[in-house]
Amino acid sequence: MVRLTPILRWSDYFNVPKRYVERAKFNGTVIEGNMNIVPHKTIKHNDPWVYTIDPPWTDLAQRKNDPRQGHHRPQLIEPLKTWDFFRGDVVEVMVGKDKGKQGNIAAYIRELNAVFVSGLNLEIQRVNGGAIAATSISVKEKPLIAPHQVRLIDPYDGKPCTIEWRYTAEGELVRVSTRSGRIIPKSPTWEETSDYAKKSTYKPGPDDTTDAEIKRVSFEPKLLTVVEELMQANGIVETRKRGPIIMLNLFALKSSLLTHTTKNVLTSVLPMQPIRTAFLYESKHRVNIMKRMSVHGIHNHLGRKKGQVYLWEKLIKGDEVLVGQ
Amino acid sequence: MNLLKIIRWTFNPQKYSFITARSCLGSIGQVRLQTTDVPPKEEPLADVSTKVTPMKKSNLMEFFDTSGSVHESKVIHGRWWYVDELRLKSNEDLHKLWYVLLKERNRLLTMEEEYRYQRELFPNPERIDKVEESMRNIMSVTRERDIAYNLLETGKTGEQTPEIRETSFGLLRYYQPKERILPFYKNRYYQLLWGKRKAGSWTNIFKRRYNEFQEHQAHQETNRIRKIVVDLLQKYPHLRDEEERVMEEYKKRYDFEQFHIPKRLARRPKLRAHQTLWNKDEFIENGVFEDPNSEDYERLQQEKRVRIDRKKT
Repeated sequence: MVRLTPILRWSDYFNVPKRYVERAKFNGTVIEGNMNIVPHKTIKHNDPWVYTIDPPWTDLAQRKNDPRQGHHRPQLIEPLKTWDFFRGDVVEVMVGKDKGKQGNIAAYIRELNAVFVSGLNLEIQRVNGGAIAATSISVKEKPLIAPHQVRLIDPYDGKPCTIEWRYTAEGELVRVSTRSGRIIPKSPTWEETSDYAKKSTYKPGPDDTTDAEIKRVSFEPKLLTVVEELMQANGIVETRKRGPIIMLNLFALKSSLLTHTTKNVLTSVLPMQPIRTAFLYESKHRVNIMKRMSVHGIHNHLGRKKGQVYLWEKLIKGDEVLVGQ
Repeated sequence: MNLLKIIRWTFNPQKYSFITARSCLGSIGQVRLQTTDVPPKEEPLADVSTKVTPMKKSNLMEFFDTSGSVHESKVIHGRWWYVDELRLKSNEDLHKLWYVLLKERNRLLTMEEEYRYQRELFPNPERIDKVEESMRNIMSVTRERDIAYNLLETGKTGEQTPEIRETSFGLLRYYQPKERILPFYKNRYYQLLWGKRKAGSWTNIFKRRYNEFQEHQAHQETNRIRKIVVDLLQKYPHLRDEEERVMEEYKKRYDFEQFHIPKRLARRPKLRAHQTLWNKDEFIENGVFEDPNSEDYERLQQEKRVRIDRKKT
């Protein structure tokens, strides 16, 4: 499930549905391949996904989580109550070479509690080592673990502070520093994703519906089920009468009240099935066995009364059958 | 109750053997839209393949997306339909939207396969998940409306949820209530399976031992997680006060089948979107069901909290 991600920043994809992310993670069994010399062995992989700096739909992350790599130690990540960091926030680094310096957040990874500050906490690597002329330098930011190694800055002081989430008078949830009580606003780049920079400046594609179309109300409540309403709208008329509905629950063993509760829902809708095909849980195989039983008379052991003919016998012969009352 | 089946029954195949995008949107009247604000998804594509006159009955090119070139790395698309937006729409509109989404989903799945065959990267594969989410939301809205109707007319929801029953061996098994033609007193097959058999006293020893085995399994599972949490607390000692919360979080993360699940329980009927278990009392209170499996659950809970706090102040 690889895809092109020119900016391999997980936080750029926060508006992607979670099911997609979970679909990308490996989850299941693996069959050994050995060109059919030795019988295949299935390996069930039960370890949780090991999160990396690359998102889970990339090749590197999937290679790390391959079941053939073996079992990894569990990742110890602190489960936070709230996530306080957004793109573009001004933040101070508390640890490392760049201790005390302030910078903007470029990206974050919530699953690892990691924050990348632009220009700080760098890792300088030499790439294509070997011939001196061919070496180039790659500069990357190292991740910082969120609540401890990085602190948001109080706009009053310009110094690092701790945060609480509180409601304003209008009812908005907002970050407030505990020391001075000032609100820390979100920068305008907070809602940037790979699809759009701002929701208000998003230019929709040819398949998208307009705002007016979404807010148009066309619902009129009627005393009909969804199906009945659709039948009316499409001009489908059902004149056939439905037989009694029999749902065998534990309740039905004592009374047949359940048949009436579902009546309103299903009465006019489900068409009357012809009796032959309504023999629901007998497959063709079983019908043949039953034919054989009737020929050899094995059914007698089940306690047949004199003159009794079973329903399935009638069906097999093709006689007319009355079902229900 | 399988709503989707019912919809299929009522959709008259003679009248609607082909489903062009235009006919789907008859009442809405808009096929091509101007660009404005933030949009959700799903109206048909401006394809060559969809510009077909209604007289053509089969056009397999509708499965393919010919609007963009093959080498695009990104396709502009919006978000999925939220439940609140779908509740404003009438049943006919939802019915039509369902088919638009279905066609779109089929189109995306064929394109995914086609890209794989051509050994190219399929741009934006999360579109499929967005379409599926909108379809799931439509199902929940129709389900709500049906349940509301049933609660008004009869005092019960018309839903048949799978239940666990004890078999003649004393073991438990999932049972999905199905519709039958024969009532209990005539249904010999059902009686042999479920009716007259009761777990006798000879099963008691086995039940006791199996229960012990299951508890041992559960204990091992919690122990495994507890060991991980102990390591975590060593690393972050300030979490010692919040041990319960941490245990719960880690149980969620390690929520997969470590142990072997017996077939009779593994053969549980896989609950689809329209079969998730809803709480009747909750529905009556709120008028709305909150599905924790949906994408918007956290967002809706947040909004709810804000609404409640606003009412207090």
